[in-house]
Amino acid sequence: MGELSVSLLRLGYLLALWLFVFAALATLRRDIYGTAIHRRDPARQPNPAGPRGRQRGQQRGQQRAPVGAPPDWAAASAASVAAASAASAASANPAIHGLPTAPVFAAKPGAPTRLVVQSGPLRGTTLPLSRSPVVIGRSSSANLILDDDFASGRHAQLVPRQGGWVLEDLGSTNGTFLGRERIAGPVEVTAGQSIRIGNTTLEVLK
Amino acid sequence: MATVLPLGAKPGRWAELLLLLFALGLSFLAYAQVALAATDRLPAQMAVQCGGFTVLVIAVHLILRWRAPYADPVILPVAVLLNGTGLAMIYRLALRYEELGAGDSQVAIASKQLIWTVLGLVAAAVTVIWLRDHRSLRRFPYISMLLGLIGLVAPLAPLIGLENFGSRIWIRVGPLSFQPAEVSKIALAIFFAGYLVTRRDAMALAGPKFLGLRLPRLRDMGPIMLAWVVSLGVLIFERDLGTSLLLFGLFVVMIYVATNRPSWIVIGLLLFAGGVVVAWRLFTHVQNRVEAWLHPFDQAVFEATGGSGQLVTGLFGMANGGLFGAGLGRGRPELTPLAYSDFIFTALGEELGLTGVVALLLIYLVLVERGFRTAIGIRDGFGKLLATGLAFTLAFQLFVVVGGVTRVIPLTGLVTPFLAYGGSALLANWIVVALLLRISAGARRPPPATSEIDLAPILQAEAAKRP
Repeated sequence: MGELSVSLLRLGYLLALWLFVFAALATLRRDIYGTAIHRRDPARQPNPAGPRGRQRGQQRGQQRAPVGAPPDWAAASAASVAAASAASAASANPAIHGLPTAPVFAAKPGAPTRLVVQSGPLRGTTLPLSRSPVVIGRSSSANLILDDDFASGRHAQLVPRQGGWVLEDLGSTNGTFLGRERIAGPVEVTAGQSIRIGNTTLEVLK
Repeated sequence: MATVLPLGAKPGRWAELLLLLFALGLSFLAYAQVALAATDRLPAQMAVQCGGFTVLVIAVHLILRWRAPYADPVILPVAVLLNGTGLAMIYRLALRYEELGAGDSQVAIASKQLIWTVLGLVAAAVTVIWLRDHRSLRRFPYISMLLGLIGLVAPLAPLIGLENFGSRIWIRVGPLSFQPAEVSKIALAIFFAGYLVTRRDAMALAGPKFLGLRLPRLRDMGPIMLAWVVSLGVLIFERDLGTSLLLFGLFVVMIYVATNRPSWIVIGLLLFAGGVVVAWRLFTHVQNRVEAWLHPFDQAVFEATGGSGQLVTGLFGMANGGLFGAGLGRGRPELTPLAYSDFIFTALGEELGLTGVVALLLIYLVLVERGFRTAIGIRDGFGKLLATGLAFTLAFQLFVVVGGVTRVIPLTGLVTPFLAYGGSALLANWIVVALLLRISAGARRPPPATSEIDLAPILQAEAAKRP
C-alpha cells in the first residue's frame, strides 16, 4: 500500500471516530425529555377578554417580580427557572411544538382545556389539559410540581372522563378544595372553577 | 407567563441501529487497518468474523426492540465500538507477538478475547431477556452479598485458586482462568443498593454536628467500616490493589448518593488514607509503585524489577504517537510489557495519537453520562443507586487505569472497560451494560395510560350525597 493511502486511511479513521462521537451526542441532544417550561411574551398575546384579562394582569405583576424579589418568586424551583430560561429563546408559542393546546378528542361543551396557577409560587404557569391525567403535588413525579409546603407529594389529580375533567384528591394531608368546599370524592370540574391546594390556587379555564 | 408541556421520550431504536452500524463499521475499519499494516492483505477469515459479530450485535439490538423498547439508544453502540476497537488492537498485538516468536499464551490473546466477546454479548442478551424489571434484584440483597464475598475469597481456595503476576485473583475452571472479583463487583453493587435504600434515612438524618459537618452516629458507621475491612482484606490476602480501591470507592460513592451527606466522603477519604498508610508499611510493591510514579526517569528506578520500566515505555509510546498517531498497526506498542491489558491505553495512544485517545475518552464519558442520566430518570431509589454504582464502577476503572498509565496517579492494576484483554472483565462489563439498558428502559418508558374506568355511577352517588 502506498504512503498516501496509508495516511488517508489513518486520518480517515480518526475523522470517523470523531464523527461517531458527534453522532452519539446528536442522538442525546434529541433525547432530552421531561417537562419543558415555555415562557410566553405577554406583549405578543392577543388582547384577552374575560378571565384571561385577569391572568394577563398577573403576568404583568410577575414580570416586575424579580426586581423586588418577593419570597415566593425566590422560592420557585431552580430547575424550572433554568428550564424556562433555556426554553424562552426557543419559542413563545407552545403550538409550535406540535402539541395542541385544545383536546383532540370529543370534548363536552364547557369542558376546561387549560389549568392556570392563579396564586402561589408558580403563579402564571399554564398547563394544557389534553387527554392524559394531570397529577398535582410536590413530588418530582407529579405533572405539575408545586413548590408549596402545604401540598402533599401527590396531592390531587385531574382525570379526563367522558369529554370532561374529574378532580380527585389522592389522600392529601391538607385536602383539596373546589371553590370553597373540601372535596370528599371525585368531582367533575367545569371551566371557571378554582381549585385550592395548600397555598396554591389553580383555575381551570376553557 | 409560562406553559408546562410534558415531553415523552422516544424509543430511539432506529437511532440505535444507525449508531450500531457506524460502530461496527469503525471496528471493521480498525481491524482491516491493523491487518493491512502487518501483512499487506486482509485476513481470509475477516468476512466470517465480521459477519458473525454483526449478526450477534444486531441480534442484541432486536432483543432490545422486543424486551426493552425504551432502553437508552447510545449505550449499546458505545460498548460495541469500544469492544471492537479493543479487539482490533489485541489482534494487532497478537500478530506482532507471533512474528516475534512469543509464547502461545500471548499469541492466543486475540482468539480468546473474541470468544469472550461472544460470551459477553450472549450474557448481555440473556440478562435483558431474563430480567424483566430491575426491581426484582432488590429481593435478594443478602444473597448478592454472599455471592459477592464468595467471588472475592474464591481465589484464596487451595485447589482452584491461581496466582499470577504476584496477585492471587484468578480461579481455574477447566482450561480457562477467571477473575471472580469482576462479577463480585456487580453482586456487591446490587447488595449496596438494596441495603442503602432501606437504611438511608437513618444514615442521612441522625448524628451530631461537628465543624459544620453533620457526622453519622457511631452505629451507622458499621457498614462503611465493614466495607473498609473487606477492601483491606482483598489488598492484604490477594495483593490486588485495584479491586480493593474499586470496592471501597463504590461503597463510599453509593453511600454518599444515598444520603446526600458530604461527611461520608470525608470519612471515606480518611479511611482511605489509613488504608494507604497500612499498604505502604506492609508491601514493597506498593512502595515500588509510588517510587515509579514519583521518579520514573531515574535510571535505578527504571531498571529495577517492578520499577518504572513499563510505565516509561508506555509514555515513550504515547510521545511517539503525538497528535495524530502512528496509524493503526504502524507503531511499536509491543515494546511495552502487557500492552494488551494494563497498557492498552498507551498502545492506542501511540497508534491513534492524542486525537484518537481523546475521542475514546469522550466515548467513555458518554457511556458514564448515560448511566448517571438513567439514575436520575428512574423513579425508584434502588434503581437510582444501582445505576449510579454501575456507572461509577466504569468511570472509576477508567480513571484508575488511564490515570496510572499517564502518571497522574500511581499505577494500579485494573481493567480498561471493554478495551483491555481480560475475559472475566469483558463478561462482567457486558452484564453491567445490560443492567444499565434494563434500568434505562424503565426510566425512559412513558407512564402507562390509566384504564378508562366508568366513573359516572360514582359521580352520581357523590352528587346525591351533596346537599
